[in-house]
Amino acid sequence: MHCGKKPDSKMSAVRRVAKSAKKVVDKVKHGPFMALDIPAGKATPAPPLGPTLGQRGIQIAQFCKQFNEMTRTIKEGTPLPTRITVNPDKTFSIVHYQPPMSFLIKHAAGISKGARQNMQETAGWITLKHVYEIAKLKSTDPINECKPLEQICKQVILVAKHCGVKVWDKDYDPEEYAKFRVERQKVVEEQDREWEEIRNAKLLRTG
Amino acid sequence: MALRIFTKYWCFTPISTTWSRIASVGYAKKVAAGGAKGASAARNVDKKKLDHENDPEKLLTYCCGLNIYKEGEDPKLKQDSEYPDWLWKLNVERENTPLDELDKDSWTYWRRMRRLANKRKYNLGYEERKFNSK
Repeated sequence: MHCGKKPDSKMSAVRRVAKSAKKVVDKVKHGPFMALDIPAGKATPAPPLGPTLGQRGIQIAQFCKQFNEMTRTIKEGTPLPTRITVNPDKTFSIVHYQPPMSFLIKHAAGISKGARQNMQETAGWITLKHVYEIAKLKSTDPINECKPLEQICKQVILVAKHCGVKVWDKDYDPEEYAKFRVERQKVVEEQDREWEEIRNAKLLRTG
Repeated sequence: MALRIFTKYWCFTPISTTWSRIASVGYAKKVAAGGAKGASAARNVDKKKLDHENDPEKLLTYCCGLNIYKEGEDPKLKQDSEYPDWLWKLNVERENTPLDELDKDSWTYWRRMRRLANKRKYNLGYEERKFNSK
């Protein structure tokens, strides 16, 4: 009697062909829409921006030129969330929003980095007035077009919580604020020093 | 094959918005190639230092950093009376209100219940998944 399968092979010939066919069609198909944070006036063809644009068939040099021209009046380096729509004929349209809320909150609180553990530490102080102004700026984004200002304010407070920034509902003393800032600076420097020690220890082990 | 094609999309509804960022571009300063010492020196350079205001008086009177344009000034904070009333009633606490104090008809209460239920469900099957994956 003749068995269809050979005793050694575990897969039939049909399945083997199908499996190899799968490996060829491995390229990811991207949709026509893209979301990125690009620093104003500093779009360069270099990675990480270049390859992500190239994968969607966008002319990188043309994109950079157009983006830098659009953001010419904005301070260099401010991260701008951008939304890029790519048409089938490789033309694209760029829309850029106001900077992200965490960026605006950190500036309003006068800090460069949020807290490492946002519930245990306080990285900065902010008042509800700051929250209102930030929300007013962000309400010009197309995504926030139909949102009531109250909802945007709540979002700002939530982002501040994630950054470790405390929101005060009443005014605080500038002297107390100055004292808090001095103490916080010491904590930040200590944390940075610890982090550097860990990093250097790793390098000594591997290098 | 249909499972492989992965498209990220941004869906917009008036009340709640969800969107996914495909890539967040970080622009680090250029690293001198070669050698662990070179790399460590470059890593010490802070790539994300914001040039923010340091004067506490100015931080209190102006909302610093709001003016993103090259020309112009940051907006000055106004008197309490010029802001709407609902602003002063916003919940500012960092800790979530405990479940017993929430109104059981509110959206937040049921959202919290849903999330706790999902967590419980996940944790119930956790050991089994850990065992099966090995």
